Amino acid sequence: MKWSIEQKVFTGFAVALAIFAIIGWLAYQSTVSFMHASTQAARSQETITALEEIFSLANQAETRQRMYLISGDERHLAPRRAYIDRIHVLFGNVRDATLDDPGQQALLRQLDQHIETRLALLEGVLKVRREQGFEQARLKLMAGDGEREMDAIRDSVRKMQNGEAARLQQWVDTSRQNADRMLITFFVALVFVALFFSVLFAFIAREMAARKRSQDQLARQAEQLREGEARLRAVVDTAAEGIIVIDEQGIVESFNPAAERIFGFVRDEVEGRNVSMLMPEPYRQEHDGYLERYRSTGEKKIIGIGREVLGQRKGGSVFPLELAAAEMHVGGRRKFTGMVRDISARKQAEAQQARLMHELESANEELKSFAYVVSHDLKAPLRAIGSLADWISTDYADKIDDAGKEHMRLLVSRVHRMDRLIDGILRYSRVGRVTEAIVAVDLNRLVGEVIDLLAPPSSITVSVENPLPTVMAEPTRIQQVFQNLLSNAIKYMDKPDGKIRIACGAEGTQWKFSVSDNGPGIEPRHFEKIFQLFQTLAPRDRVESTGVGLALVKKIVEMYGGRVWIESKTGEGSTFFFTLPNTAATASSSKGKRT
Amino acid sequence: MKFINKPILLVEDDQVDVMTVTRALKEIHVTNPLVTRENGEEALNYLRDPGSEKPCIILLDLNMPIMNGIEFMQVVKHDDKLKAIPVVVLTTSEEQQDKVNSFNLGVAGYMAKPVDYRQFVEVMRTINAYWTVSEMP
Repeated sequence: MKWSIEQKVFTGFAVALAIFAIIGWLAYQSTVSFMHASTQAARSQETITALEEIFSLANQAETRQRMYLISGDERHLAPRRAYIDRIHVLFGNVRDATLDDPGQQALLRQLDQHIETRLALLEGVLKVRREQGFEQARLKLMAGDGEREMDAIRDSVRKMQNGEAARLQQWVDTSRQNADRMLITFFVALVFVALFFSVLFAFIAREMAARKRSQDQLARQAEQLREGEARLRAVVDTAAEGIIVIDEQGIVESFNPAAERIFGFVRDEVEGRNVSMLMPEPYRQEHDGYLERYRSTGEKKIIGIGREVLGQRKGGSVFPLELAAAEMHVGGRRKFTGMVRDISARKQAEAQQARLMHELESANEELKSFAYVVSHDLKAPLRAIGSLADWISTDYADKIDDAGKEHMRLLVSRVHRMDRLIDGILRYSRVGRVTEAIVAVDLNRLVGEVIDLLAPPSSITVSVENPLPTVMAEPTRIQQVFQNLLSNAIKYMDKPDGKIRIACGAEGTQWKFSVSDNGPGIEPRHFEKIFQLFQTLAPRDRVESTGVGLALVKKIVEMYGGRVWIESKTGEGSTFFFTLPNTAATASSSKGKRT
Repeated sequence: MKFINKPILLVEDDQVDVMTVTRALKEIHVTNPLVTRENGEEALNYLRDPGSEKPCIILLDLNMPIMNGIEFMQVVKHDDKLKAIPVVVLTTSEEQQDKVNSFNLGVAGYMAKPVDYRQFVEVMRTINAYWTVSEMP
């Protein structure tokens, strides 16, 4: 059983009172027996004194008698009567005082007899003296056994005194023992009480401290609770999402400001009413049934799941909202918290995005089919033109003059140019549209192959400055990059001693490649333009170029997350730089290849 | 060609391309009869006609109306009577996917038609030279 502090303190005080009562009773007992012993001792003392007095009175009585015997003066007999009365009184006292001691009583009776005998003897002698004179009395006295009686009296008194002294000693001892016991009792009681109160005090102090602590803790908890509640309230009030709490019947218990904004209702219009008022038909009808079913079967449709539903504003307009519902148990009752977010804007954006995606997809599809059309349907007639022009100039060679032949030659060359343009467009459009597997490409080998393929004239030296890394890429695309940059450098070389250098260095998380030449260089104002599709700096009749190459390089490099740029000085040469991400899968190759 | 009496089946819808092939074959002195069909379906009809002579080689365009070259080959290469006939694709398409599909279906060659007629003649010369040297079923 757990006792309350009050019960414990009460019990402590009850125990203390009981101890006090016991101590009081013991003290009382000790005092009573001490007093009894003291009284007894005093009486023994009195008895001893009385016995002394008795003996002394008996002696005096005899002395007076002797003086009378000698002098015959009656005056000497006057006090004798008083002595005898006094003896009798003392005798009574002694008898009373020794009632509890049979030995003393027996001795007292002997003493009484002896004294009576003695007094009777004296009485007899006195009578003789008074009637027969001194000599007869003297003879009578001498004949009597007065001396012996006197000795017996003395002896009895002595015996009684001794007995009484022993009793006195006994009482004194008893009272001293009682006093000692009382002192010890008091001392023990004092120590015990002191100890008990110390313990009780310590106990109470501890209890009080504990109580204080728990009170402080309670206060702190209450403070935290208030703080938490205030914080929660602030969160709920400032939440961007509408927060609605309903009970098991669907009655709204709380409706935060965001919910007010979303639904257009103010709190007082909603709280206390069924939450279904925020839903459009047919969900409004179904909601009670849903709650009912959840209560009876636990079947969840929204609780703990969350989904997109429709809500109805104050004006009756219906809008999409995202609802996350949670169940909670408060005070043994079940409640549901709903977090709602108006997703009209998101829905619109999603619809728009879907539309854009669809447009983009169809545009992409169109581009693909466009590329296919270009590749097939545009090329077929071009080829027909080329063939027919060829046949005309062959079959009717004798009918066409030189100017006509020149025109036919130009016609065929334009057909070729258009064919290259179409091929360029196809190559360009293929990047990103047609993908191949990404593999580790050893650039030392790839660049070597590209140089071999391009077969630069002997007047041009192509060198690889340092070992090139292995990169993760589509081999065809990487090859296109190097092929276009190198073929440009070769094609436009205007120096008799052409030098083309390929270099690579790690720069952060990127590889930085460079292809430098000592060709004509490019003016800075053209730096942007050269990377655009179909842009060339020389007339096509002088240098055959489609204007696709650098655009293709830029598209490929940017597709891999890299960057391409040029540094150039007119007349001294150009350096094309491009970067490729140095992914974990790529590693620097130690094999260098110099051409 | 190994068999000079067997016909060459050309499946091609473009009239000038037909003329180009005809002219090129003539130019390189290939005397085999040339049978021309406009699309895959007509070519199949020809091949399955018991009265027609089986060609020694099929020159196939890919981009055709009604039944294109790939669809045509899907039928031919699953037909036990026809699948042994070598098919050389002659096309404008340089799409990787077309090449992969063609070789997956077991074509004997894949030639991109050059715009230049002279080059086209060289292509045809090469085909002829190859199938003159190579054994035929």
